[in-house]
Amino acid sequence: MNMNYNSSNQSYLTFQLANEIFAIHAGRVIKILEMQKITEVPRAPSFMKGVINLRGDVLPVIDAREKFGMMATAYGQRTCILVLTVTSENETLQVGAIVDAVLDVVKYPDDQIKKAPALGSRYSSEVVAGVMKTEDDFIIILNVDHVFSTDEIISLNENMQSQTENLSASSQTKSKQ
Amino acid sequence: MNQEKRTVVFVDDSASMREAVGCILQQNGYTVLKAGDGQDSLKYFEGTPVDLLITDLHMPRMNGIELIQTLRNSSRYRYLPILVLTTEAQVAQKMEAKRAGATGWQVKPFTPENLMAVIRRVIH
Amino acid sequence: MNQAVESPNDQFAIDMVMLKQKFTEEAHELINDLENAILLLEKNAGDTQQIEAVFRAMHTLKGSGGMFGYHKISEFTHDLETIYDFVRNGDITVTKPLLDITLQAVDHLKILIKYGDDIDEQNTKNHHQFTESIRVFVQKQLAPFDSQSDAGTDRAALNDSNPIITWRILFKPQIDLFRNGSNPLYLIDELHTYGNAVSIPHTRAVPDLSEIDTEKCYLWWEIFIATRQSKEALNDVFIFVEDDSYIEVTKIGDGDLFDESRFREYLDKLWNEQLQVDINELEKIVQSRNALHQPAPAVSHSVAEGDEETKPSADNNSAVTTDEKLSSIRVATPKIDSLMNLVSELVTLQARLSGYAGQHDDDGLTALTENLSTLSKQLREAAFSISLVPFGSITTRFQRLVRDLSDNLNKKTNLVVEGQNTELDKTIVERIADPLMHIIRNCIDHGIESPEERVRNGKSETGTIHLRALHVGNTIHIEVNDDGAGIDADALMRKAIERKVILANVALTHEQKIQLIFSPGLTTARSVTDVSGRGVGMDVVQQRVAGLRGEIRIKSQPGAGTRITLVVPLTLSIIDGMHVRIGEVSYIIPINAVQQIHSVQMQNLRNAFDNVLAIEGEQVPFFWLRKHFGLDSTTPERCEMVTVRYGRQQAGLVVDKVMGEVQVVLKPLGRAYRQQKFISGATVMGDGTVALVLDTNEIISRFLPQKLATDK
Repeated sequence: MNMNYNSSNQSYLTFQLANEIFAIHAGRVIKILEMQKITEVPRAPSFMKGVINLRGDVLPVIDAREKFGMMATAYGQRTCILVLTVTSENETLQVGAIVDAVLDVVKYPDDQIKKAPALGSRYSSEVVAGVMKTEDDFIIILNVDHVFSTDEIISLNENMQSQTENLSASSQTKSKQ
Repeated sequence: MNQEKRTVVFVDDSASMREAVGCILQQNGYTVLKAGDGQDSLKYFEGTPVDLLITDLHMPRMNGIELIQTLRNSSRYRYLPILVLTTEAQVAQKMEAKRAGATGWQVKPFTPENLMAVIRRVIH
Repeated sequence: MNQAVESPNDQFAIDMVMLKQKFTEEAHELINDLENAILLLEKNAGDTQQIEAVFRAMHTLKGSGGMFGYHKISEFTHDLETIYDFVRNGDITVTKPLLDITLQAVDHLKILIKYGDDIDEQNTKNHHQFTESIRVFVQKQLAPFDSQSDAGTDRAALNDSNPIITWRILFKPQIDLFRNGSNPLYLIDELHTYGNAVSIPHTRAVPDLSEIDTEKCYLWWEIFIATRQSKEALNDVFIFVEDDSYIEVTKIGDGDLFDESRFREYLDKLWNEQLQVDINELEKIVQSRNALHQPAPAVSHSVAEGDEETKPSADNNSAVTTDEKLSSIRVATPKIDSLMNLVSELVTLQARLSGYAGQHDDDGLTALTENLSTLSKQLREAAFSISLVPFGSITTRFQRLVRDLSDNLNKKTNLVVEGQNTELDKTIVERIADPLMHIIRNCIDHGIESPEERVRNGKSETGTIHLRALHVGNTIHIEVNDDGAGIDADALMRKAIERKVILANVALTHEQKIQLIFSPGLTTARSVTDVSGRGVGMDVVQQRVAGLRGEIRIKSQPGAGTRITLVVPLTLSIIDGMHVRIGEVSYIIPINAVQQIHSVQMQNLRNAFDNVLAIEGEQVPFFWLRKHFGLDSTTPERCEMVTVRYGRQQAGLVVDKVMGEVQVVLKPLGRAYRQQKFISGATVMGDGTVALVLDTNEIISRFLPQKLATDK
């Protein structure tokens, strides 16, 4: 994983998918777009929603919910598209990710980011770049490069849950119910 | 000479003429929409923008002159280049077509080269 | 225009046989209708409907007859058409003698249709007599009308033996010239194809912007042209507008005055200062030129075509102007790429502006948009031409290949490259090199015979491969022409049957057999050499070329050689396309694949057997894209089918609606959609939405049922 962000206080953008909150490194977010009409590309997996016009260029758009195997829902007022830079096979590209809502931009010190525990799940370390702890919750920091460059659906839900649970058990802080 | 692919509507009541002219035009890189008479051809003018009309003058239902007049009265095709095919060598025929708004004419029979030379005179 | 290249009209000759048959079928029907109509007219001479029918039959027989080689029918019906034209205009009434002679004519027409122009002696005699008697009859009837006739618009052929003359043409269109859809610029363009020419537009009559009526033509032109065309041919260019314009063609001097720098400078001055030509000034130039060129030099250009470099400078009495040498600078590729990107964006923006102007009825806006459109088109072409490289930049490797391979196979082969200076898109040049290598390799390996065999067959010992690149419209043709043995069509056929590519009992024409060469896994080399035979086949070459939105044509004559032509677009980044819709989504079908558009009922598609529709008598397999793309919104009752080329066949792509032609900038769809090979890219439309560009070959090969795929 080639993610060297040197400063000690990093910014993260948090967003919501169903009932879960995720974070991604703010440096990866180029733009936040309102939901708009997407040109569907035939015969593509359902989580690949199609393409949109980003200032004259063509941007592929992925539904993050479906990508994570969550139930697809109708897009609402707060639904938006995060335009992200992703590095895959030494190629930097842009991709749009549809999320339910953008929540916040938070600063979080590097040294307090927990490494994703190796838990036997083969996805864990690839999908999760780290975990940050807020007052009453754990937020998973996604490994953008991996998540948005595979063609597969990542069954995130179970892994996530087991991870956060495990993590909360191992750290002696108060955990969520 | 850097021509883009253009759409030509060709109207003639003779199926073999339609074939022949269709053939010539396609091989010269045009998209050809064919109709057997003026009435039948009108549908082509509703959708896809047409770049050139080539029409015979004598056809059942709507003849060439009527077709030209109809198009010249529409705002969209007021300036459409229109070529008429004539067999009559009479000047009167050509003048009637010109008065109705035809851009030029081609006398039948003609070779592919004849036709293309005349077309190049009205569209690029 | 008059270059000696294979014109697409050659193809026309091939289709002629088929067309001729169509014509005879139609002619039979017409003659039947004609007979019927005359019999009805005998009962009711005033039946205008029947008169009209007789006239139309004559009209069509005359017009089409000549087109399809039935010249006798054409000349025979000429007078009958004329007389029935008078009848339908009410100038002549239907009489018994007229109907009698028409009925006899019908019988004669039947003979002419049956035997064509090759009627026997007896019939020929009858034909002449009959034609003459009709002529006499008609002339008697028409005597009061004194019909004028006109020879038609036969263009004076370019005659190389005519001397070059420099002309001045004054072209002053009437102010409402546009009303007939005439565009004076095209006529001027046509003149420019006749030789060196300069056109000076005179703008003094143009009113202030606020008073401009965009429907009026305010300009007039002075055109100076040096050409071998006759004065008649020059006048002929204006034939469509001669009634609405003032046209004057005057000779200003012998020879090509554009050779004279003084002449060119003088024209520049006229242009810049909007002056009308001063005849005295011109005469001075002509005279001083004549003094210098005594006698006028007959420059011989009989040097090998295409090889510009080796052309000796024939002019030894005048100082060779060195300033004609092009100066050039080197530009880094990324700079050109970024320029091209900017231009692409401009083109997209331009399309949006045009769309916007179209929705708003504002003459000023429309006029400005059109000007901007012309300008951005020119800018695009100028920028694009920078990124072109000459074909010659890749030909050295072919010379080397021919030399090495011929040695290797003990053959003698000479490669002649023409059109080294033809410019192509950088990317295309890079990607065309491999397919060409393969084709040339094939030529030597399979095409060119051994020296002994060549001599036996009365050919020269050394085989020749002509490789040439030329512009044809907005495509580039690259031809590989060898004088070898030609393709053994029957061997190819046997192989195809053996490999189960086709069924044993299919009857194929020579042409069709040759096309089998594009089937996967076929090779006709008697022994598999390490040169070709194995390796990639022509099917792969075809795919490569199709990947460049190009096509490959092949012609072969046993014993005489083979010609393979690659037809590729000028550029890959901008394409002309047919804009279609399925549901809400816009798609673009590259125009070079599009053949025709047909309207079809959904019901017919549903009922079609084996996904084949009969279109104008031809069985066309179709692909209902809505179904193949898995789109489930409601299908409209009427759909449209765009027929596209697929190899030598055509196939229909059924879409909801055809919107029209567009020019779009192709953008890659990106890695995310690398599985969707049938989408070659995307583009941003005028309204800002994204449309998908279809790769028709991929669509067809992907969705084609296997059994159809094999007899492609």
